[in-house]
Order: sequence, then C-alpha cells, then structure tokens
Amino acid sequence: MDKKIKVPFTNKTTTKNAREVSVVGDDEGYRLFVEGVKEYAMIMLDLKGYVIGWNIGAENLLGYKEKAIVGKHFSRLFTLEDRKASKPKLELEQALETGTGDDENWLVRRDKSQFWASGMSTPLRDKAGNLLGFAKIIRDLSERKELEQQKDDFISMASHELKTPLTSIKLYAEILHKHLEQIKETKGLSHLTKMQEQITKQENLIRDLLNVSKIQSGMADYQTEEFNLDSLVKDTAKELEATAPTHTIVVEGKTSHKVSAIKEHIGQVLTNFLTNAIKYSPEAKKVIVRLFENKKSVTVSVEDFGMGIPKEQKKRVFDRFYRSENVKTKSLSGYGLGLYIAAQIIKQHGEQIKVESVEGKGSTFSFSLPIKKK
Amino acid sequence: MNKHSSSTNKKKILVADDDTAILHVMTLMLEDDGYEVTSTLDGETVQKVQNELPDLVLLDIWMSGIDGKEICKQLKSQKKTKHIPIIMISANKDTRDIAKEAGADDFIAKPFEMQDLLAKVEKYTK
Repeated sequence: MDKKIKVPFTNKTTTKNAREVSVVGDDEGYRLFVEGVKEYAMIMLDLKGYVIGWNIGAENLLGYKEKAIVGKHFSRLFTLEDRKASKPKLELEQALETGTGDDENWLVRRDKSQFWASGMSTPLRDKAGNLLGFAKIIRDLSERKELEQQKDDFISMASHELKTPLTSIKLYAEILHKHLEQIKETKGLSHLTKMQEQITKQENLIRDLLNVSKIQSGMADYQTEEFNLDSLVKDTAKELEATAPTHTIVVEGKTSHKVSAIKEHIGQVLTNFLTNAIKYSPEAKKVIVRLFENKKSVTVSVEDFGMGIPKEQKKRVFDRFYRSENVKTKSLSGYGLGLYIAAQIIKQHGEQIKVESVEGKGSTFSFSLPIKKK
Repeated sequence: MNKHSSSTNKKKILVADDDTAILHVMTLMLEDDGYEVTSTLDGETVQKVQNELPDLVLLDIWMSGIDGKEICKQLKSQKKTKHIPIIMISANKDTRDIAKEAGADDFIAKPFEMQDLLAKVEKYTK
C-alpha cells in the first residue's frame, strides 16, 4: 500500500519501507515556512515512527542534520529510560487514539546531552482518512524547567520561614487553651478551638507545599529499603482510622513478598489515598484497602464509596493544584496537592497510579511495586 | 502545682533561638512546667557557658551570626560541657540529619506540639 506523502520539510525524495515520498511543487511556500521555523523542531514520521522530514528547527534543537536522521527511528531522541518504558510507541498510540499525543520529557541530542522538551504528535491523514504518518513538534523548555526549579527553591525557603511564626502561634494557642480550661471560660475556649483547627490546616498546607518541593528536588537524600507493604498499610490505616471516627478502614488480602522502595514516601502515598477516600466519601462508612500480588509485583488499592470523579476530569486529578468540579462545588477544603504528590512519588519509583471512578459511586486508586528479587 | 518545682533545685534549661516570639513562648511553657529558664538570642552566649551549667540546652539550628550546629559540636567537644544534653530545634527539613551530624542528643522539628517538647525535656532532665 504505497502512499504519496507530501513532505514539506525536505527537497529530497525518500523511499522508506516501500513507501514513496515525494515533494509536490505547490507546497514550496509551505516548505519555506516550515524550514524557516527555527525555534520549534518540526519532524515528520512515517507510520512506524521513522523520520521522513526534519526542519531547521529540529537541526538546531537536536543537533542532527537532516541527512543523518532521515530513515532512522525517532525513538533515538528519547532517553534510554523512556525507550525501555516504550514511551515512543505509547506517544504515537496516544496520538492515534486521541488525535494528539503530548508530553513533557527529557530528549537526547546527537551529542547525548539532554534537554527538557515539550512535544506534540499528531496523526496525518489524507482526505479519505487514511493514516499517512505523524507530525511531531518539539520545543525546548529547559529555561522554563530552570524557572520551575527556582520556584520550588522559593517554596522550600518560604515554607521554612512560615514555620517559625506558626510555631509560636501554635504554642501560644496551646498555652491559652490550657489557661481557659483552668478558668472554665467555655465561650472563649470554643472560639480558640476553632482557631486551633485553622492553625492545623495551615500547618498541613505548609507541610504539603514543602513536600512538593522536596519530592521534586529528587530522592537523593532518601534511601530505598526492603519492606513488606502489609505492615505499612495496616499501620497507616490504623493511624488514619483514629483520626476519622466516621469511617472504618477494612484491609483485605495480604502479600508475602518484599518490595524495595522509599518507605517514608510510600507511606505518604497511602496516607494521601486514605485521607482522600475518607474526605470525599462523607456519607459512606467504609473504605476498603486491598493487598494482592502476582509473580512480578505487589499491588495496593484504596476504594471509597463517595462522590467519585467526573469522567472527563479523571486524568487531571494528578495535576498540581487541580481539584475536580464536583469537589469544588461541595466546598470541601483542599489544595489539589495530595494526588499530585502521590503521583510524583510513584512515578519516581518507575510506576504509575491507576484510578477507576464512577461519579456518584466512588473511586479506587491503586499502585503496584515490583517484587524485590532474592 | 508544678511537677518539677517540688524538688529544691529546679532543673535549669538554656534556650537559644533567634526568634523572640519563640523564646518568649518556650520560656512561658517551660517555666509553667516548673523549670528554670535562661533564654538567649545570641549564639555566642551559649558558647560561653562556663559557670552555672544548664541541665539541658534547647538549641535552634539557624542562629543568626553563628550556626547552631557549630555551637552544638563545640559544647559536645569540651570536657566541661559534653555531658549536657542538647536538643536541636529547627524548621529545616533536614533537622534530623543535622542534629545527628552535630552530635546532639535529640531533635524536634518546628512546628511542634507543646506536649512533645515537654516530654522530651523531661526525658533528658530526669
């Protein structure tokens, strides 16, 4: 099934995989336009992901001359890690499925140096709807990445500075609380208790903000250790059950294999899952945690019977500061950081969080960790 | 009323922090719990402790001018002061590691609960 593909990026005629590629004369203006774009890499791929077009922007950004890259597979632009995770293939699949596949990731230049890139892949189809290949546009976001780093450093410093006055406010409130109790000043005590609840809220926010910057700045400071997930799950469930008299946390199943991970961080993920499960199911009485394993991995899932997540917002719940509409209208407090932090932690362990949800019925969040081989 | 004041000699605590509000509120808390408190904003004062040694030092890590970590190391290296328990206090995210490296006996991270601090203080002044 030979197809003629208009390649605006190049003057040459390329034959690749029995596919004839030619340049059509009336595309000259378009070709000049694409070639002239120097800030954006514009790459054209065939059906299987082999490069068939490469503009000057791509040459500038990635260091390959057109001659050197045409006919090669575009996966060489990805890091080894991403290639192992089949990211190139997934990106094209996503493009086919949704009409566009976009992502931010590290890409590799010809000289092996890396840069933070935003990329978008779009399937190219002829008038009859037959797939001809893909167009990929890439932009260098290194500068933005650096600014993000500065912002995270700032958050880290600011949270540190915020903690100092918070400490004295908290302690003065405790002293006052004690005093009002002694003199039995009930009205004042009731106001003060409300105030202390708000202090705790602020304390949690500062802790979360700090966690975000801490997790993003990498895991260098943390040691992975081998442990059994069951006891961590049980401890976390017990701890949270004590703070939420409204819900019972049922732990089902067990695992026998150890995992190798950062225990403190995995504990944080479980805490965030359970806190959400309780918070977003105010009318339910139960949260179910399930533990199971297969030959390769151990999985934990947390199911609640609450408000669920609207279908179209399911993907975005892991975005920083994102909160789904149904949660916002119910005016439940939160900052949109819990799931973001959880997703970052699991991502750093090379895995992904899965979410199943039916609006009005409840949600199940889960993650798996590979079994530590003996 | 104070559980520690029944003994003839109150336990002496030296609190060093570069934030006046923290110093004030910690002094209130500790005095209320029956301790004798000396507080200072100046790290160097802690280094010069020679007479009337305290029973415990509560030391902030980021004392302006001089680093609390250095003060701790110094106190722990001198014959006269090395037996004094030191609890390091900080809002720094790495408080645990810094305290360990400086040779402190314990640490407490800001913000903390009054009960947590009093429990630690009691543990080291028994």
